Amino acid sequence: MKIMIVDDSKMARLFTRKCVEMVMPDAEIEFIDACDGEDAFKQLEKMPVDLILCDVNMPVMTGFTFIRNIKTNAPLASIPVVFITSMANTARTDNLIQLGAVEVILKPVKPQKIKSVLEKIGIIGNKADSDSDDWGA
Amino acid sequence: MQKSNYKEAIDKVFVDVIQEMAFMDVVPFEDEVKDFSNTISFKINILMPCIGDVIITIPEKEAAKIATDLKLSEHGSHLDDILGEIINVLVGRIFSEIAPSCLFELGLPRKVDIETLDRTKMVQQNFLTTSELNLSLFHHYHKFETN
Repeated sequence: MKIMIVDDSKMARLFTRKCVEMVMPDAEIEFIDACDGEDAFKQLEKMPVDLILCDVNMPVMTGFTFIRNIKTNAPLASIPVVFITSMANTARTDNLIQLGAVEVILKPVKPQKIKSVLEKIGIIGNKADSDSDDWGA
Repeated sequence: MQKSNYKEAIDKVFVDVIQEMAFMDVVPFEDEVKDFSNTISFKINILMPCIGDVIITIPEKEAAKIATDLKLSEHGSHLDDILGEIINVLVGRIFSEIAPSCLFELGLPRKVDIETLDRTKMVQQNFLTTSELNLSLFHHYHKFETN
């Protein structure tokens, strides 16, 4: 499985990756990092992925422009996009869902939230063997 | 939301975010703080629904401790990246708390020199770490409208 993490902060990308690894300890996952929407889009044109975990507030190309580009590009349009952002109030969440996001997670990301989203979109089963409650304490 | 409630909401978000991201316990601190020597500051602009700025000031010693504790340097993440992400999350969470139904836009975080900024119109909220060092949050807004 290939998961792309799009965020201009290395710290945020690392936190997200650690969370995914915590909830899918046995999965063979190739993580692809991108530092903004433009970087992500260029990489995706060469190599599609199974899931995109994406920030909103980034330089060069924001998450808004990125998802609009993804959803109007036929080969990429079906890739699920989950936003992980500090800008996740109800108004912004509704806005991102309308643009085609499958879920919006409030930063800082936590394993339990990642787990429930991965279950929701069917990447892991509901009875996935993971115990992530002690991470980051 | 009334002005006093904004302060309480910001206090709560600040304490939560610093704990969740830096694993550091802080408490709101009412005494006046004027000495910002040996501190690092990051600023983020608010672009919508109001115009404003938020600045976080943190002692260099505590900032270094956060970077060491998180072991992020081993993965190529540096202090500026860490503090920039913390203020980004902090301000996003503040807006999500005080204006849940309001679309908002933030600028990108950047490092600033707190001593050279005009802080006369800014609200200052202070927080104390368990090492009794001070973290400060400065903020000011105008044209604020919630929908």
